[in-house]
Amino acid sequence: MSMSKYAITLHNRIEELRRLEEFVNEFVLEKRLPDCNLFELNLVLEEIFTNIVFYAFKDGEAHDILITIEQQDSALCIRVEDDGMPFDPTLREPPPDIDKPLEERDIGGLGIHLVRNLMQEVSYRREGDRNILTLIRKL
Amino acid sequence: MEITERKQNGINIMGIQGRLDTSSAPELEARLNALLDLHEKDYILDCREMEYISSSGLRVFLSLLKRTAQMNGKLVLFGLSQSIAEIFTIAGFEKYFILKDDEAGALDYFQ
Repeated sequence: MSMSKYAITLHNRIEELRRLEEFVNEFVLEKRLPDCNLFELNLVLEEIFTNIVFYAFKDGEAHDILITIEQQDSALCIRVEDDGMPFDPTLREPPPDIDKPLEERDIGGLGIHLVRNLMQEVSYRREGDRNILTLIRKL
Repeated sequence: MEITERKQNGINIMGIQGRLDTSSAPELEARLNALLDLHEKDYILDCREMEYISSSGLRVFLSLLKRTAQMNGKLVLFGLSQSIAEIFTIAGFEKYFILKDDEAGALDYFQ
């Protein structure tokens, strides 16, 4: 019987993206999920992870970011946990106005917009000194 | 990520291979900025072997498009995979960018 829950602890450094990518690849391969999941899970986790690395910590110290993926029937449940400043990415408003003409289109704000569109559910809560982000993707 | 470059009829044709993510996007951005600073205004990006893009890569493309537009230049992309094309749609990029199937189509746009 294969494990249903996969977990990895990453440090708050961009170089850790390589390990995150390997982790996602292994999960998708092990679970025999279609390829589109590989691309989209990689993308979603990269956006969330880089957001935390860039914005959650101001102390210059090393921190752990814990990511778990669990397959529950026909959905993937992803949990991302860190001990950074309270930060709710679901509140980063407004979403980029994708209807704007090019000259007015802002260069930023795309990451969370992509996450929201690729996942069916994104929810945030603060537990003690920890940020907990839960994402659900239907398969 | 690997970048290949050549020039044809004054157009910079750049191939992007592999993953355009937060780690690799600064390298592409630096290369493009170096060309833009030399007033190079026309670009074709060969995306056939681009496997992956995240918002960091999309930002590099959008910023290149804005700078070429300011110089009255042109930017054409070709060979986007289906997954990447979907990300372009979600980002609302398909209405800003000229997307072609192959290099011949991209070159025709400059005629």
